Amino acid sequence: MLKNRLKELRARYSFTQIELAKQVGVTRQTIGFIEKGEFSPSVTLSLKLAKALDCDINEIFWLEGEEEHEE
Amino acid sequence: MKNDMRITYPLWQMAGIFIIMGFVLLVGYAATVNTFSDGGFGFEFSISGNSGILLNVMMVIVFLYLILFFYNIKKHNERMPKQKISMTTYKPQEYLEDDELFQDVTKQATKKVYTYFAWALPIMAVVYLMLPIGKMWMTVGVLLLAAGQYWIYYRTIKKFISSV
Repeated sequence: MLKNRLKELRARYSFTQIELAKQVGVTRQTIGFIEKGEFSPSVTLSLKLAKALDCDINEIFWLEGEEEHEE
Repeated sequence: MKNDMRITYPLWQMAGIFIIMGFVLLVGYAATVNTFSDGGFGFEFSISGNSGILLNVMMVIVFLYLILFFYNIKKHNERMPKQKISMTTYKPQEYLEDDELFQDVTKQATKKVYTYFAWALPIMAVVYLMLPIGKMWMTVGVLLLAAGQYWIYYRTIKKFISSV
């Protein structure tokens, strides 16, 4: 399962879900569903999110069980 | 999303199907088909008494349905110019394709509809083959099957919308 820290990183930049959604060209609902872990975004959207949050894609998303992120 | 007619569009389709079903039943009860021994057939449609009243009621329902349907489409298109409902495309109007999440939900809903037809059509074919069902009830069955697909689609989308 894909885990993420999108909400945490979004808060770092004080983005609202709507602001981030606009930046990456999706709806607010999509950001909400990704944050809740209920939707796994495409590689394209993941890269757009990484760019908007000025970080590496691995900092936002990781697979469940990967120790370095879970700690 | 609450005012998005694309969500309720399957319900409008269902209502349209039930209206057609009303006409099928009316024709079924009011029409007589005569087959001639030298070939060909005659179709006699007799409207009198209750069937006449029913026909008038049906016409009023159709009229009200069409007015409400097109009024709601107009309102939707004014509210959501980027997600207009257009009668000139082949694509079903109930598809939500705003972004990849919505495309995914639409995919889930259409998969359910596909599964429904994969089971329902063979079952219906067997039932029609084995039971002595008249044309009218066969048509009603097909219409109910069509209404069922919209109900499945609507329920799936509605579940998603209520979780947003």
